Amino acid sequence: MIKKNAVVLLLSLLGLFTEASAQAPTVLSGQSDGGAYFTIVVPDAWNGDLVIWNHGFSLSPIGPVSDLGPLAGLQLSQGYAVAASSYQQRGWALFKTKNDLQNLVGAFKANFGKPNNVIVTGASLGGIVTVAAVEKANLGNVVGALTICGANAGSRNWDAGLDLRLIYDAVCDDVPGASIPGGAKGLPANSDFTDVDLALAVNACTGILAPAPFRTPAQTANLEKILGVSQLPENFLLTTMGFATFGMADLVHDQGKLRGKIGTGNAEVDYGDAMINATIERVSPRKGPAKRLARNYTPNGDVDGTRHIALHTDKDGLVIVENQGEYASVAPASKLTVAVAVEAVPTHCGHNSAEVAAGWESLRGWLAGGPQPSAETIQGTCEFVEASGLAAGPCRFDPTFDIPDIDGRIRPRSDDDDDSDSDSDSD
Amino acid sequence: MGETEVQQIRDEDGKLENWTYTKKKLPEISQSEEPRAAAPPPTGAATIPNQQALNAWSTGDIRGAMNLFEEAIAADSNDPAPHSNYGRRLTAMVAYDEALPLLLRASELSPDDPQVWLDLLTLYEKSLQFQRANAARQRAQELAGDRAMVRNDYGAWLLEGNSLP
Repeated sequence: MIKKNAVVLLLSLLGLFTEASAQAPTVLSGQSDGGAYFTIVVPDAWNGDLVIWNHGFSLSPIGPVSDLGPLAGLQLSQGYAVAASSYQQRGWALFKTKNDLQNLVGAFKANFGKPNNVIVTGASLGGIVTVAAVEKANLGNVVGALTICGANAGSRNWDAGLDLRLIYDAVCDDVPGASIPGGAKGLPANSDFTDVDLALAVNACTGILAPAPFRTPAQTANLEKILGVSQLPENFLLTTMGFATFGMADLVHDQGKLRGKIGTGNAEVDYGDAMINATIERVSPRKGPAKRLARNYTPNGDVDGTRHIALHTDKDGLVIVENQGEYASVAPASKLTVAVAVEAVPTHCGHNSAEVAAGWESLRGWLAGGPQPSAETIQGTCEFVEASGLAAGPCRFDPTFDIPDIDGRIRPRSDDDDDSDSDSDSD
Repeated sequence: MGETEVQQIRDEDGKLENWTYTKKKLPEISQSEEPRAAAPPPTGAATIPNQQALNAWSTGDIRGAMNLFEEAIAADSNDPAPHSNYGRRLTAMVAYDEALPLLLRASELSPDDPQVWLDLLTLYEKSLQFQRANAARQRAQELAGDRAMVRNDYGAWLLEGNSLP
C-alpha cells in the first residue's frame, strides 16, 4: 500500500490526473545493488524515446525517487518515457553517477526495450551529471541534453566553496558564537553540527538573519567583507555556506569520494583584499584526492553529436552563471546553446515554467532537424509559450547577455598540490 | 498492487547486478480523497508568544524567537500563524528539513490561504523539488485568482502588495 500511495502521489505531482490524460502510464520502480533507487514512467503511447532527469545537490538520505523534473508532465504527454535515479551517493554524487545512469538505462532496456533516442536533462548538480553522462557514460544514442542552472564547470565549483568557507573563518573565527568547526574540510568527521547551528553562527558574525538596522556595526562590516570578497548576493550567504560546510564535509569524509582528504587548495590565491590575503588559512590538496575530484568531474567537451541547451539565471549565487562560459570554452559551439535569463532577485534555478518549456521545445525542434537555437530564438519560443497560455512567464532571456569569465568569481589557482603524500588513486 | 520481481542485469563490465522491481499498470484513477476533518479553530493561546517571537526576530534575537515560536506551537497546535511564521524563518535559515513539517501543517490548517502554498513553493524551489513546487504554485494561483505572485528581496514568494509578518 505504501508503494501504491507513493505512485499515486508521484503521478499527481506529474499532473497526470487531468481530464486530458485518459491513458495510464506504466511505472517501474526499483533499487540496485549499489543502493540507487530509480523510477521509470512509460506512457501508453510511448514514442520510443527516453528522457533521463538528473536531480540536484542533496544531502538527504538516499531514498525513492520523488521528482522527475519540471518538465515530466509535458514530456509524458508528448509520448516520452521519463526516468530518474536517486544516485547511490548523496551530495556531489559524480563519483558514481555513471554507474547509476547505466543501471537506470539497463533496467529500462530490460523491461521496455532499447530506446531509439536518449535525452539527458538535469538541474544544478544534475547539470554536471548530465554533462558527464553525455561525455562518458555510453548510455546509448544520446541525441540531446537540457541543463537548468547546471554546475557545468564541474569540480572547479569546489574552489569557490573552499574560498567562501576560509574567508568566513578569517573574518568570523574570533567572533563569539560564530566559529564553525572543520575549516577546509567543511566539518570534522561525524560532526553533529546542524543547519540551524550554521545559521546561528553566521548570524552571530554578520547579523544576516536580522533586518539591517538591527545589525551591529561590527556585523555590518563583517557581512560587507565576506560578500565583497566572495562576490555573493546577500540572500545567498547561508545557502552557499551550507554547500561550503555540509557539502564540503560530505565530499571530504565520504569513503567513496575523497576519503578524509581535501581536494582543493588556495595556497597562492590572491583574494584582492589585504586583510584576507594576510589572514586566510592556506591549504594544499594532495595529488590523489585533487585528481579524484577533478576527474569527477571536469568536462572535456567530448560530446560527440549530442546537442545541448543550457539555461541559467544571471544572478545565481550558488551555481554562478559563469559555469556556462566555462563549459562553452570546451564544448563545440555548434553543439551548445546557452540562454541566460536576467532576474530581479537572485535565485538558484528560479526559471519559470515558460522559460523551461521554451528550452525544452527549442531542443526538440533542434533534434527534429531545425536550425541550432540561439538565446534570441529561445526567448521567442518562450514568448510564444507564454502568449499561448501554455505556461506562465515572464520570459527574461537576454540574447545580449555576456557571460563574465569565471576567473573573476572563482579565482584561478595553480596546481599547488602537496607532494608529500600522493595518496593512491585507483579510480 | 504491482508485481514484484527480482531480475539480474549485466552491466557494462559484464558484472551481474540484482535489481528489485515493482511494475504497475496504473488504473485510470479519478482521485478521490475522504474529506479531511476540519481542525478546531485556534484558541488564541498562541497569539501572544507568536507576536513575541516576531518581535524578537525583528530585533535580531534569533534564538529567543525560535524558543517563542516553539512555545506558541506548543500552546496551540491548531493555529496556523506560528507554524507559517516559524516555517518561513527556518526556510530562510536553510533548515529545510525542519521547516517542511511546519509549512505542511500550516497548509492543513489553512488550506484556502494562498500564502501557505506560496511558502511551500518557496521551500520546494529552494530545495530543487520541481514537481512539488509546480503543484504548490498551481494551488496558490488557483486561490490567488488575478493577484500576481512575486518574490521579495530574499527570494520568498508572496502576493503582490502583501508583506510577510
